[in-house]
Amino acid sequence: MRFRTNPASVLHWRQWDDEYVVFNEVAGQTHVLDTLTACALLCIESGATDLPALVSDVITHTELSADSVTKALPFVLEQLSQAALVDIIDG
Amino acid sequence: MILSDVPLGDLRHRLRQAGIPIKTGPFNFHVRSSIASVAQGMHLLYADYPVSADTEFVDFEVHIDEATGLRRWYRRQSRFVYDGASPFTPLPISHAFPLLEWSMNWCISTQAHQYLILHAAVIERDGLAAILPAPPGSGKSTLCASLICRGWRLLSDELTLISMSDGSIVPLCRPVSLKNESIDIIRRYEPSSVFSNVVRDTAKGTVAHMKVATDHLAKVHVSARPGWVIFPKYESGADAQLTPRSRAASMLQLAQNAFNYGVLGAAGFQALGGVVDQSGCYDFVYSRLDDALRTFDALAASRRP
Repeated sequence: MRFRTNPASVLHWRQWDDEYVVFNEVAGQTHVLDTLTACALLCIESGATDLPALVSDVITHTELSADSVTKALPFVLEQLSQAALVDIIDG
Repeated sequence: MILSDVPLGDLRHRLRQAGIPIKTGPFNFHVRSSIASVAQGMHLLYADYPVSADTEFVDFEVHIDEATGLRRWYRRQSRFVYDGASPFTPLPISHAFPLLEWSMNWCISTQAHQYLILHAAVIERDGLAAILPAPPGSGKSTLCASLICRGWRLLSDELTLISMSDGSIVPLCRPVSLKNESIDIIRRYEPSSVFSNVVRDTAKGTVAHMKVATDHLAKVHVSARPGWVIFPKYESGADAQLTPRSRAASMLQLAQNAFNYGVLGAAGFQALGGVVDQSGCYDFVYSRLDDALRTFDALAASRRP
């Protein structure tokens, strides 16, 4: 699976402890994200383009186990895609 | 010069002819109306507001006039005219003063984009603002009216103005709109409070507007910093209970309560984020106004150095 941030998005962030809010300036939409989802999006923004790289990056930045991250990320990516924050290039 | 310097007869005449410019918070409204209840309502509730000089810039021209359709022959109606158009359906003539208030709100909420505008009451203590966003029926206006009768300062009962230049909360200080049972509740709570005539059968039920205390108006130029975002909910018989809530969810709900968050784009997001950064966020359930006052006073005391 390969992905990228939606090129037609400009993101602005706010964080309070483990709560994240992201605003997509282009769509005018505001999203509340949990830690894993926010971390995944930030890692994709920083250049992760495939699932192994994303799992590795997310584990580095969170205290979550590799197993739980690996299981959760496909669902997280699907949510980010539905929110038009991430493009899944091939599945 | 303040509006009470103009005798009621002269006010009626001026409203009918050239109109009269009054300053409410940061805005100059130029009001015209041929309807007697508008003059009476303004004479009572806006008595202490400055009358602007004729040379001052006018932000909004508000004209509350009698509707001119065929209906006027059997049922007189009032209408709001702005820039030659009538944005609202005409209302019965007895609704003319509430229509003026709603029209002024409409002008601000649709056009004053130098502010991020939240649909929320906002009150101040010790320089910190408590923003009270809530849907109709939650007891927001009743709570706001009671607190401003007991030491909190009114910034606005309906429109929270967040400055886009410095993030401060700017007082609007207009009469407090109360509905249905809330009118008598506040009359009993503060017998010295001054109300406009009660108007029945409006789209919001029975409404009346409460006059703003002179000492609040005297501080209309004093902005406040965000202190709290509190989502109130009246529940019959409930003990007062203040519960911390998610800042992220609060921000999202505030955005949904804003009139122009979408218009302002990223700047609106940053302004709203700044408010939430500086604020404690809470849900507040209450049934008794004295309990609510104690809760709010304790909250204010907790932030004093």
